[in-house]
Amino acid sequence: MKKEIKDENGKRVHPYVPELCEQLRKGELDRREFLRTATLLGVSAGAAYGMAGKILGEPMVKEAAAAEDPKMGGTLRWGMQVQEMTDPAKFDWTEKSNVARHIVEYLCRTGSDNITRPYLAEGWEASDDLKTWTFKLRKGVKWSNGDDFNADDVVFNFTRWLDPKTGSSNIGLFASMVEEIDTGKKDDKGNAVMGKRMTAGAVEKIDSHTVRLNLNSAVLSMPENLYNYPTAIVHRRFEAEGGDLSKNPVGTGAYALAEHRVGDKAVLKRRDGYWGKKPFLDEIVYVDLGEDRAAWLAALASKQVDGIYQFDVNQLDMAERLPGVVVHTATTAQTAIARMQMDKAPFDDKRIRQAVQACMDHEKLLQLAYRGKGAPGEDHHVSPIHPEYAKLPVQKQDYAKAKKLLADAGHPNGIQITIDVGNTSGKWELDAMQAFREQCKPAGIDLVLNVMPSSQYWEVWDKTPFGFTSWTHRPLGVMVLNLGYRSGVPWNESHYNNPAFDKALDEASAILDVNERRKKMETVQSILQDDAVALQPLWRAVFTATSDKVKGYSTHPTFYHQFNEVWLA
Amino acid sequence: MTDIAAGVQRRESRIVRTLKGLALIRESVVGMIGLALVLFWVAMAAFANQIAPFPPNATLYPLAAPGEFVEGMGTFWLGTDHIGRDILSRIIHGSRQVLLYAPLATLCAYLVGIPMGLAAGYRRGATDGVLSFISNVILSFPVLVLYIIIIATIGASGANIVVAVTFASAPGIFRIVRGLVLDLRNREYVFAAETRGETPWRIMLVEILPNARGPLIVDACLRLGYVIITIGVLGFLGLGLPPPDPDWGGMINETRQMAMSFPHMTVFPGIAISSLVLGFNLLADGLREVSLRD
Repeated sequence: MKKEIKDENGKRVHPYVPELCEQLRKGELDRREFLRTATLLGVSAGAAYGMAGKILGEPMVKEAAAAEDPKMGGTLRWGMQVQEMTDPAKFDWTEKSNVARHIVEYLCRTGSDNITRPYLAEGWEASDDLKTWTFKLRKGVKWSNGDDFNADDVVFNFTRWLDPKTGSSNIGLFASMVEEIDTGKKDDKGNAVMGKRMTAGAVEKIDSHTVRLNLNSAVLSMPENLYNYPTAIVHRRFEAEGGDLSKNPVGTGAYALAEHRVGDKAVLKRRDGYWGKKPFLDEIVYVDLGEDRAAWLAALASKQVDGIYQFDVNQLDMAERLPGVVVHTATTAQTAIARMQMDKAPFDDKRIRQAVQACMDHEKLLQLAYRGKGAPGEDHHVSPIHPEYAKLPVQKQDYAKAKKLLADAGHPNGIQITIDVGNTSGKWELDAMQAFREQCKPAGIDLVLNVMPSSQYWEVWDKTPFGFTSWTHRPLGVMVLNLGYRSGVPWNESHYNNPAFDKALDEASAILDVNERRKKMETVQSILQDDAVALQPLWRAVFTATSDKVKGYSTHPTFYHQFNEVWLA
Repeated sequence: MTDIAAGVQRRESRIVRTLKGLALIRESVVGMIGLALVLFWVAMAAFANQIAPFPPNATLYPLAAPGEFVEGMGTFWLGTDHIGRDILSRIIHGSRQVLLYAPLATLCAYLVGIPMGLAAGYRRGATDGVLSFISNVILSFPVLVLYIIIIATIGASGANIVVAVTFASAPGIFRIVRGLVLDLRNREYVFAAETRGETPWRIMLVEILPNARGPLIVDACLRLGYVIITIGVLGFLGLGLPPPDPDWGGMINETRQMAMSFPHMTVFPGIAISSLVLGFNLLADGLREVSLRD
């Protein structure tokens, strides 16, 4: 039996923590990765910062402390699309969650420094095999309707997320708590139709403020998953009371919804009785400035709003010149993927997909479409800023290979393919695809661009055979792979289905040691890259802008808003 | 000489007369400037492949300033856009799109508007009532809104721009033609033709229409200018010709976010649009001036 290790307060420490400290000392881990992994294993953020400080001889640094004294009061006006806000479990736009994030809260919270900290859960412990996670819930937290927040709320939310009838993307995120079952139905070909359901006993209420999660396979990113934007904790009677947050905004958050008009504005007012530190702002108003991002920056410059959700790389030069405007940049794992559905002609032929892939010069696309701000993509959707990223051999543009693959696939004279482009994350998408179209020409591939409004694109994003879809940043590479590429999950837009990939991803998701995990990720990334379902021109940096009156704000890599620390000068 | 031969000679001389009338434009300075501008762009479009220094869609060197020389590539006289395409080459190739779709759309609008106007003006009565009502309904819409509704419904493509322009312009042409016909139908040569027992459509097309050509040619030149602006506006609104082929309005739309920092990306396509529109407008002015002199 392993010896239990305890910290100075007598609390059990995960046995991997000393190993982590050793790796940090030897320089095998950087400070950020150490903090991230240690906090994931249940070490409090303060203690982890302290350990890192001791080892590296640096002073203890807390998350972005404000230099000036914060002022209470005021109304923060933020330019962002105001969308419907019915069911947090079914959110598919970050903007929806930004309004909701001030009303309902999460078990954990990942800061703009990519470190995950306790939130509604005051702490957690993982078993050595990472299959059992115990979350201690914060006591004294009250819902805005006066009820106590407790384990029943958490059990209700998990049960709801993992019921396929809910239609939440969380069922993919928490795949290790779900099992596949035969629904008893047959499809047209007489094959059994498989369904999913929550594994019996996956969520266990230990006492009124303790919940245990029992997983089928080891998962490292459980706390980070619990800040993924559709995992906000709603009240245990959410469904019984109508299942619509915008009509019945019961939450544990610091703000109450005063007004919500889709396409117009959302008004949040600070409420009394919040469990945490009292936020500075009296009121937060989200103003819908329409879809045209050029207008957003103009609204900021003319002081109609104090901050904007984001602006495009094309506006960078202008934004930096505006008086009284501060530009915030974040390095992210945000990207867009030219993904091909592997069950639709002609993309059901791997050689066609690989031929298109061979035409792509990623580095050049980064320069042309994103002014070189970000990193070149590698067609496996794991970013160099993800801790488990494994460096694969650099891909080269290879027209001879592309032509040979096309000829082998029966298209010696070239092929015409059409890609849907919705510019859902900005005009850079069209720029990238226009440049890619030119790159495809020498191989005899005629890439036709079907440009559509972004709202129209979101109606077809998972249906079109070939589309360019934007993906938001997630702190770990395995998170996005589990969401978007595992067989059968709702957001698997390329209909990717490769058991070898699923198995390798399972294995990688279960390894705690970053260096070991990276070795497994090499296999995962190689399989995905070789299958060429997801062509990825680039990873992009993102930009937001605020007035210089806005203090205490830093851009979250995923544009998650939480204005509890923000104040107005 | 037989009657038929005389008829042929008469018709030939009518075409010759029209051409001679148009040739009078050389007496108008304004008209000649307009003609020169139009011919300049026609030459650009006709010899685009020979004149343009680079392929219009090739991504060469991003954000080059006007006149910048790049080793191994050449000089980008009007600079490049944010994804490295030569703006001069795109403007030259873009003129092909404009000079194909603007006259085509105007022609189609005339092909619809003229018969409607002839029928309404000549027959009057119920035909006039119905056609006038329809055209008044269409004309009561703000024209830009009408374009946007049509293009957004049927999709953006060259053919659809022609459809939209036809739909929106034909009622205006109908009104002009109808007004002219209401006057011309009382001329003696029309009564003579009626007395000869000629069919109404023959009277409309052979007797009335040729005598209305003067104002219609002037109107066509003005209308061409409006159609060019329309194509530019539709391109700017993202409803123009689908990318990546160059379209002047689309070029402005694609780079307008950078207009403050890199004005050359929007200014040069804007100059291209205005110069061609100006050309057609001056040409129309010149033709009007010359026709009033008759």
